[in-house]
Amino acid sequence: MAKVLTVDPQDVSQLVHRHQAEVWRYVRFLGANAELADDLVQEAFLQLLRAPYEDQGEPARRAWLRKVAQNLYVKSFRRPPFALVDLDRIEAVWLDYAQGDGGNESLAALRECLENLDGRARQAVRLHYEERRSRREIGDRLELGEQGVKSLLRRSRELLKKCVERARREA
Amino acid sequence: MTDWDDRIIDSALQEVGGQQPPDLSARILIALGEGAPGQLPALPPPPRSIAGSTMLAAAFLCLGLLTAYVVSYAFDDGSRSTVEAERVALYVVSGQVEFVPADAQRPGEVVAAGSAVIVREPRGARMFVSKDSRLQLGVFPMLRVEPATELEVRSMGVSMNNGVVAATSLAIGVVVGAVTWDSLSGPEARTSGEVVRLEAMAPDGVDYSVENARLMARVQGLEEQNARLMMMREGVAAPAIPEGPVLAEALDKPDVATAMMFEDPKYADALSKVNWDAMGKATLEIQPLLNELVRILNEDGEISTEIAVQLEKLNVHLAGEIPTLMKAGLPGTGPNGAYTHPLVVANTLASTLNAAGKPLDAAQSAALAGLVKSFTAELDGVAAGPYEFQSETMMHEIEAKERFYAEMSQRLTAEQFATIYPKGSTDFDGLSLFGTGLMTRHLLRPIKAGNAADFAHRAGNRLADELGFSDAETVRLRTVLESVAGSSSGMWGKPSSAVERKLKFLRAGRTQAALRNQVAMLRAIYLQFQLTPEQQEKLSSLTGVIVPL
Repeated sequence: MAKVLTVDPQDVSQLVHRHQAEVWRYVRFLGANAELADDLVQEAFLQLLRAPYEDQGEPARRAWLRKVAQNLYVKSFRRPPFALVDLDRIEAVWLDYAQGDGGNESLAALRECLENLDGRARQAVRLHYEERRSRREIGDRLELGEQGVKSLLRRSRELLKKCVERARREA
Repeated sequence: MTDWDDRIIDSALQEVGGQQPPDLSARILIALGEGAPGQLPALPPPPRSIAGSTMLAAAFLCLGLLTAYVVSYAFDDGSRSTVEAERVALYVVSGQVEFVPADAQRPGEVVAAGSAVIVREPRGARMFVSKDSRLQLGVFPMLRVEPATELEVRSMGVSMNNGVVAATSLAIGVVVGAVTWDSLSGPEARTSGEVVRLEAMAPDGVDYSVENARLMARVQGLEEQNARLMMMREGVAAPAIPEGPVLAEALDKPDVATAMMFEDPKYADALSKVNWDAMGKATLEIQPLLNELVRILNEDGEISTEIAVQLEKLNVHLAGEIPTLMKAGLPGTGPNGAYTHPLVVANTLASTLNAAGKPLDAAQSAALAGLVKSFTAELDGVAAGPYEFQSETMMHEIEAKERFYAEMSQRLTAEQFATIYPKGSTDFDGLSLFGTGLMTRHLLRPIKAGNAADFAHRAGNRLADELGFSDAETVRLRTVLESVAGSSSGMWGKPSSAVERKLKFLRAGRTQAALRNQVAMLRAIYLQFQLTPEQQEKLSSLTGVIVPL
């Protein structure tokens, strides 16, 4: 029989620690900035803990939290930020990435793949994601136009995605 | 690849680049306790930064910390506010910072301990730290900045909520050197090329003392409620008013300098201000918890949050003495270099054994005093030594300190030894509070590599980034590193364990092997490449230890 979640502070703390990273990553993936993601995650947990929610186990709980956070994100816009017909595709991409552990393994694989990325792709990724340089600044450094930087970053992400998928298969 | 495939990697790269999921448990717990069930606050439209409940959570986390502040001028009223000017203050708790505004030249303004660095431009300002320093911005844990570190402001954000400054954030890039801090899951570090993201909130002039007191009472109430609920669940009658732990009472007495057994005139003034009694009691409680943390991780593959929280609370008492230790000017690498100095170790040992009811006798004290004297002299020599690389100085420092620990432990009785080194505590570097692993753990830069070729490829990429090597130089660098790493002993043993990967407690001896390899790599680079003076300086100041896991 499913049990109702308690609001024992210790349980709340453990529950939040178990799921917060995944929900946060999910809403970031949807497009929320870091600060909005904090708020959305908080609201999703509050709904989980305040509503008469019957706990059906961890996978269902994770899906429930993601769905609530997604709804809150969509509702925060006057118009939906993406086509609602994309929702199935979004869910499929997420589940493929998260692999049941909230994305921890994929993230670890990505770090490894980054270590193997060479040359200008590595420089572009580093300048964009670690140093938060604009495309123009990166272009000046790599002697590329802004469009060229955009293409280089997209190609790099494509390479990295394939590398992550390969690493996970091998693992 | 679809747009969503692209987005998932984009968001993951943002996380790798520093935008990591925060721990929201405190703010959720507080929001849960304060709002009536079923009456959720409406989610305001984006863009917004941090809601009111976040402020409460931040204040909750801010208790006892030095407060950073944000000042803003000339905003109109209502919910849409325009910030015309703002600044963020980064408080210098110890050490000093040379602050150079964006587009200005060195030398900049030197900001000493007790003052604040005022950052006005959202990007480009630099901070040079020549000696160990500690910086604080609001709710973020205290940052420890290593000597010879250069930081650069990458972004700064101030959020408005109904015309009031509600939050600020500051992203700082580590250009050279390293920054470390303690988080819930253990020590964190950022080194060259990495970014630290700080957040704070506290409008200038706002007195949070009343709010802090209210929240402290609230926290205490929640803890009591939690204790009662747990006892009820276990069928035990709850106590009416739980009494504070004995340790907490002892630790909460400020400025109590007790029981300094080993002295050195050079450092006596500063060290006499350390609360050795509290250090000993905290040490005695922390070590079994660390062992338990590792045991659970070995068995379940998970870090116990409950133990991590207890450790965090106890560690505050040890970390609280670090500024005093730093003021003493003891030689050593980083804050834990002072903590692992023989003079500090011997006094901590004595107070820990006192707390355990197994004090040192007169003969043991005399023997230890002799050891402290001779190793202090040796370490003074190491600190002044003619070494080319900081890593090399650290390597000699660790070797000397390891010999001190070995000699010290030989002077203990079997009972005392079991108290100081409970079974299992010497299996991993950093697990024992009486070992040099404390010094090195936050400097480890693990990479996944099972052999010398993998190691050379990945370490080569990292070092090439640090040194600004061209692609051709990077390829040559990998060959050099593979040759060095292939002949290093102690590097390619058993595969890494969960304890090594998740806690960065390396198997005993592995840190020293990695450090020896690192020094050999740096020397090979120095000899085989034509380095510019800037590259030589960077090479010399590298302290992060690349270790294959």
